[in-house]
Amino acid sequence: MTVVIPVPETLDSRGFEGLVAGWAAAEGGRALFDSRHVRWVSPYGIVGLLAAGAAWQERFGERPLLQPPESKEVASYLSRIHFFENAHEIFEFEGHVRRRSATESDALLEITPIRSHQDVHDVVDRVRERAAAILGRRLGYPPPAVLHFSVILSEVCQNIVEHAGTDGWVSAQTYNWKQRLGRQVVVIAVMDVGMGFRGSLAREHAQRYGDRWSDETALEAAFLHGVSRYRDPGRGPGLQGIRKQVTRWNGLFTIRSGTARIAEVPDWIEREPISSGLPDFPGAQIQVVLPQVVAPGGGG
Amino acid sequence: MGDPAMGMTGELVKTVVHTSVATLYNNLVTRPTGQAVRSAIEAQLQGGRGCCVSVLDFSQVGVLDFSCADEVIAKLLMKYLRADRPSEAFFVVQDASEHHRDSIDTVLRRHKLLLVAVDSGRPALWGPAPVRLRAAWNRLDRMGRVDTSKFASAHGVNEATAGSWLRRLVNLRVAVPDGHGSFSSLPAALGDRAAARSTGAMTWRSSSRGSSGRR
Repeated sequence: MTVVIPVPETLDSRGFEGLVAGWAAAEGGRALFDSRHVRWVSPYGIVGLLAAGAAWQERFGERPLLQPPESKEVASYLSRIHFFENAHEIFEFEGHVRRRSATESDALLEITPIRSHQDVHDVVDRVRERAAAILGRRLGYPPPAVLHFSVILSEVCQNIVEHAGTDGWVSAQTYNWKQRLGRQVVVIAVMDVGMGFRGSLAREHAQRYGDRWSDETALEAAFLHGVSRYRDPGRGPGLQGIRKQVTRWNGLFTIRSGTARIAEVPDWIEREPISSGLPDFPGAQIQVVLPQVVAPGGGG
Repeated sequence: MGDPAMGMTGELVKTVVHTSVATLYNNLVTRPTGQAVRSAIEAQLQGGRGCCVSVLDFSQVGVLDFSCADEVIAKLLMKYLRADRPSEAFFVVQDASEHHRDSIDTVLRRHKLLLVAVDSGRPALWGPAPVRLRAAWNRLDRMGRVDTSKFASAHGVNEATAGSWLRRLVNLRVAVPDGHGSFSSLPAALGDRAAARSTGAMTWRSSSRGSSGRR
């Protein structure tokens, strides 16, 4: 029996929740991720599609099928950001897709697998020139912002290597967030389908929380109090440091893990700082959104 | 990686090891990288006798993330704060940018550590120092090598209190005792050494302050 999991037309963070709802409700069998009607993707949404496929394989031991988007524009974009190249390791495809585009991507960082500390080094080395151009010229950030941005990228990627117990992916892209903000934003998405925050922290911290131990309390412990799975007291400043930096830039920082999501919420978006009772999904899904700097007086 | 300059005179500081922390990597990210950099710094300090100051030069460092800052800076400071430290090494950060400072300060605060930094000749105390302790260090740094009595009088406290402040600064490894009742901040001790040798090796110090106020 084939289970069809529809991929929402708009595959952003909200679309990802729709995808996860379909994923969580399924009870096994051959999965077909139907992305034919996808019209728009964000880095978080598209990395989320890889994560959903990988999580299916992990959960049911069967390689899922993927129907690629019918929109040539979307398919071409996905080729350029190396989606199909990575997807071929996870999905079987209905029909032929070009794994990699002949044209260069203008993404800040194409979808990149994170498997080791060396991958984190490579990402930081690779992104620097593009980050300088995009953050500086397009988003109006001062030159040192490139270094701070690289720190954020490094720390969120290390979260996979240090805590997930499995591989993950990162991608970063800038686009015009007209509807919500009326400005350009840069979005970093980092995901894995590993043990998640609750699993990672359980051995060291679950006992202290007793019955209250959950995805929500685990996220709170890491995000708000900087606790880590390691006894080393130096562990844990990464998320705190990212929060501080993202807040300084009036950005959004969210982590979804298991059935909960926690967020550092700026004034330009309506969102609960913590949500629970979401459809259960393994690993950790991190998103950082940094808005274009508005010059005093309202200019871009 | 470094350039040890051995000194055998009567200065407070016997050895200065100048280390470019970007020799192994330009971007200091991830814990394994930090561990490698720390190991290289520690290797340079092995076998040293007497007071040694390791000057950690950040001028060539690009990105410094929190994890790497924890491995390089925090773990190094903590090891040499312990009673069973391998040698009498002190650490000074040189030419760190605002970005580096952000990462370093985050880990200093997490571990409640202090660190001396020098940027364009200006010494500063980084980390979560209480206001009065910071004021004491600033005064000591301005005064150069000084005994407890002079420090007490300049700071407007009695000798017992002054002695307590100075010992605390030494215990936090941001000041150096000469073993005969006098103390010096780390930058001042390095300045003394440079002045005594007239080598110009520590010109950042002498160019910023001159030699007035030094004994």
